[in-house]
Amino acid sequence: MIKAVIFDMDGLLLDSERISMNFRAETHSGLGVEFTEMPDLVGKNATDVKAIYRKVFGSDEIYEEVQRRKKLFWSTYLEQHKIPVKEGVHELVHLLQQMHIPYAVATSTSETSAKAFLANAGILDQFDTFVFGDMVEHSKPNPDIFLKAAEMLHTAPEDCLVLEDSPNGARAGLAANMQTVIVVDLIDPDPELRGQVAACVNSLKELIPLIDNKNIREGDGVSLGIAIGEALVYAPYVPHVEERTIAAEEVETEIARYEALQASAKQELTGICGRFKDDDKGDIFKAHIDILFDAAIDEEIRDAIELDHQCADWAIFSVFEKYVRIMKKKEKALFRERANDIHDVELRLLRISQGVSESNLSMLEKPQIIVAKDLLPSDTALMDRKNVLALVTEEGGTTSHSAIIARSYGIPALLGVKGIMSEVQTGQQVIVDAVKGQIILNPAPEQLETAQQEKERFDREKEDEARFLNRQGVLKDGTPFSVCLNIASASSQELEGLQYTDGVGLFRTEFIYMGRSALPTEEMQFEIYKTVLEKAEGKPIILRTLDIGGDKTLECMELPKEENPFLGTRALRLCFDREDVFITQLRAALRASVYGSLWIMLPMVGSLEDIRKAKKLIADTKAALLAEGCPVSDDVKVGIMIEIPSIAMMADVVAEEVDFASIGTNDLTQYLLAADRVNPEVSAYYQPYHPAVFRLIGYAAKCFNKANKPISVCGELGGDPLVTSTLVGLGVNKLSMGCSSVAKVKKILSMTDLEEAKLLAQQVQKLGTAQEVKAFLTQQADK
Amino acid sequence: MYSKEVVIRNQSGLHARPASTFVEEATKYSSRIKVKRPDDEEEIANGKSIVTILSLSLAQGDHAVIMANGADEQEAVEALAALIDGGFGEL
Repeated sequence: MIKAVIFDMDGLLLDSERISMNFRAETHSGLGVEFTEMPDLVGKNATDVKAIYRKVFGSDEIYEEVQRRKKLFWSTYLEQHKIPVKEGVHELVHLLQQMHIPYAVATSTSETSAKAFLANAGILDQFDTFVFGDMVEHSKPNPDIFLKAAEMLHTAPEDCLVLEDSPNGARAGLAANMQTVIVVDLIDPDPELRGQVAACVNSLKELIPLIDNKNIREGDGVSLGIAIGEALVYAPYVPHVEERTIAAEEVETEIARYEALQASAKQELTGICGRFKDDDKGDIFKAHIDILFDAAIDEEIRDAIELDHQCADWAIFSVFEKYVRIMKKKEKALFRERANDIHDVELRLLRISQGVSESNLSMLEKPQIIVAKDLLPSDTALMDRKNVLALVTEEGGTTSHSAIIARSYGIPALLGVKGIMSEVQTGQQVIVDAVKGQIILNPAPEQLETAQQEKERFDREKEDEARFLNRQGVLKDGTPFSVCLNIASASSQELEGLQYTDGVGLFRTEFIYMGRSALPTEEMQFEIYKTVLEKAEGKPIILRTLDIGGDKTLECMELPKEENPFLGTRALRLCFDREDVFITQLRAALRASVYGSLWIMLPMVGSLEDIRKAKKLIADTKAALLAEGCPVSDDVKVGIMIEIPSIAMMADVVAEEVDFASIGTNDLTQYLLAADRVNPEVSAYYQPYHPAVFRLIGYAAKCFNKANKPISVCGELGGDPLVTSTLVGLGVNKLSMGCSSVAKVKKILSMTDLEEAKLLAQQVQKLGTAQEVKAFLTQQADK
Repeated sequence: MYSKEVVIRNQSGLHARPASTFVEEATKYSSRIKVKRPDDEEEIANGKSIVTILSLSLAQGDHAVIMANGADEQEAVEALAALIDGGFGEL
């Protein structure tokens, strides 16, 4: 995204390069020096130019003389002429001002000369941020001058657009990792440079439509893909109810009206229950029918209409709201959360009364792009996946619920698009480009055409990758490499991914606990684990024990209220507090172990005590089961998630205590960098590519390799093709990811040479910043 | 009027499924049925209303009074008390 623009001066803002060139040619021939012999001076500062002259002529004499004549020439020139301003400068500057995009001039010329030039051309007052040649040590093609400008504009280099006419200047822009555009003046850039820059144009005018993208909004492309289609603005229904008293003779019709609303609501709910016949999600809506005809509520509503002569809407609203308030005050979350169900039923009645049709995502009439403030698990659970072209939300980031769901379903998703709800209407045509991270509202024909082409190319690439889906994961030399699946609900659709992978690398069992009012029983969990193990046909299943707390809460279990839940009683810590819950899960898992290859993985392990305590509980549970006559496999492996930095740093010792480990990079990153991964305020500090993350992964992998124990990566990085080779090189020997990443990662693996990967991993660990790592890996990937 | 004091025994309390089972049973009787905590005269739940029963938020170990008024009052209270004593099959 372009957040700031940096202009070169000579040859870009001003048509001064031509004048300089003529002057130099004349002066040099006057001094008996062939001008064409001089190396390229355009864009260099005084110190560098001086050095070049000294190299060519062996002394500073000619340089001094040229400078003397140059000064004289320009002072005379400026007195007599006006330097022409290049085409499009006025328009572009005006547009940037309108769009509140900050901009600066970064020129190798000294402050005095530059200001004199700009003043002469009549555009000095249009600029207030300058970097001059004498303000930095190294001139172009070194990036110093542009980096300085970015700093003064308070903008990250990758968000800056550099406008340059000279190849040296363009190289400086590229070296600064900025979006660089060449506006050709005197020197025609060579094809190689043309290929490197973002664009090469002949006039600044051509840039105006590119920058003036008023119909584009930026967001976080968390699930890649491009979609073109109609928007569906998904907003919870907000009732507008007014208090109205009715006449005595209206009572009968108003009661009839209330009963008709109940009947319609029941019809809707029965319909929904029917669609969830084989799913316990239907229970939620069965409970809604009970609330709809609740004796107390029903009686009070009838009284309000019959005795107080209130209109039906107001009676419904006031009675339901009373119970919502009562429930919300309850101490226990279990009861408090029922307020949502009561509220849901109230909204349904009022919505029907006001003739608004139901909007949930379970039944879409046609393929649409969903635009919402945020999506809740209940929204995505009901979502009509085949008709969702893309998801766009105002809130959420890479690891939010919406993001995870979108990726696992392979739906393009753009999250964190601020204010989009107020800008898009249902039915409006939009383009969602999650690759570029933007949504285009009411696209122009040329934008549509481009998007269509890009969509086709993206889909084609995806298809190309799909060929890798069925193949075994192998490195370049044919050595097999484990590619595993991350699963959550263990739905049959999710388990289909098993046929393409070497097992389950992360079974997020907390999803079994979510969205239900009572804890899942041992029997119920046993059935689920058994199904997964059987479906895997002997491939290992890494079952992560209940990982709740932090950003994940449960309806069926009260969690302690904490200031810093991510640093509090979550996951294993919570299981130690609620041993009954933990043991129930362990019993179910161990009983299922005879149906396949079960690997139990403990989340949020911070110390050896944690490991030993959990291992003892597992051993005790196993002994108890055996004593009861329940068979348990002898080959259940016990391992840990590496996500707390302390345990990563103890990897050498830990490797002796456990059978395996898997690195959860999302939490490892947030704990290592002390940046809450769900707090958008600190998202800039949450850097998954931080070299420290790679160093720590490398250390842990080395220790586990030494102990000859498997170590995998199952966080977001596990399915990130940009880092696949690096992780291989660091010594990780298994990658686990959502099904949508499998093909792409297998493709990268097939091109990965182990020795080259080791070298790559070493280089990555030596880099200084996340940005450098990303730039380096992107550059490597392009090769 | 017939009444009886009971202690909630099942783990999840009078919540979700147990609450609906309770209401389902209460609905079978013609008497008016009320439930409340022994020391609370303010919040009195309608035994046939899931919402008011839930709003009592009776948890495991809590005491409750079941009251009925009508033709089948004794029968109703005894049946409901037996449900609660039986822990809704969760014991």
